[in-house]
Amino acid sequence: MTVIALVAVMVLVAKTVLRMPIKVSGHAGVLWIAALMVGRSAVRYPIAATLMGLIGGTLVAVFQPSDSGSLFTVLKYVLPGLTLDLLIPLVGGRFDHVVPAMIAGGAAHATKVVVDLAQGIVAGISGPLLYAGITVSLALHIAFGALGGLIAAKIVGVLVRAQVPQMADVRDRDGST
Amino acid sequence: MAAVAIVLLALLAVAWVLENQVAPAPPAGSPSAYRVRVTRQGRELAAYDIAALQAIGMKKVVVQGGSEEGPPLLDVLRKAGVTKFDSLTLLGMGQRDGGRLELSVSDVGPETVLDIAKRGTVKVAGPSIPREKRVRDLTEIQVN
Repeated sequence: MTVIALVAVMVLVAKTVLRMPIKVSGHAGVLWIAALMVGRSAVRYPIAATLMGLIGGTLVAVFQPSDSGSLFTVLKYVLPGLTLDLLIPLVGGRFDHVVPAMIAGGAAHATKVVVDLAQGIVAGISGPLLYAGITVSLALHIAFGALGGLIAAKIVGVLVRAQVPQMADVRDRDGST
Repeated sequence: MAAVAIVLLALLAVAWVLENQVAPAPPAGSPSAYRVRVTRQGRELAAYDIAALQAIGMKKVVVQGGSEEGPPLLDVLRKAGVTKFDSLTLLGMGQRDGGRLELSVSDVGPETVLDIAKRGTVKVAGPSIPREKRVRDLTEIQVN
């Protein structure tokens, strides 16, 4: 739970620290996606990343309210966490390889755009207003998420080589290859 | 993970189709294009699309921790020939908020801007306008 709470705080910090006044969609995701992925690699609980997203999203909704409203703000962090929980079994339980981590990071961050779309539909927006800028926004979210995945892979790789216990997988602990 | 990558590329393709083929933005100047009207006693003084608003002059302000950028509201009014007013009534589409905001003269200052949002509409933002009272997808500024 300590790691989960720590990562949740890092989500809020990432949103605050990387607040660029240039309105580039998704740029803060570089850090908080990386934090989610490193945290999920360390915590082997099946819904750990979802929990990190839930707590982190709640902190963001409280301390950095936006036009999205609380519910959708929280969802924007829960869905990426859930995506990482679903994808991590495909990569052997930790995000230490660059390419799979980048793909997973991009996929996780892309779900934020899905939430934006859902929010617009719920608000009754349709047509050009609903889809305006969605292609660029999605591409940027995937790109920044992939960058977050790259950072996570490097960090997890360092932690694995340093033989940090939380990063050891079952095969390592058995001593088998 | 290759399948996930393929899904992401497919998502991008679907997004492009939705934006450009299924629901493309109407051409600027067409009757269905998004506009912000300035009216006084029922008479239209000016109507601006996004390009016209940008041409008035952009200003970046930080209000309530967020960065907002767009033409200052006072400049928009001045361009429409409004030099004096008692109050303003801002009307929006009302899809994401109440759709109506009353501003007195003291509520409108040089830091009050019409922030141009990524979805191609504007919202009013300023130091004296609480976040929950902002009007998004602004359509009309009634001068009183």
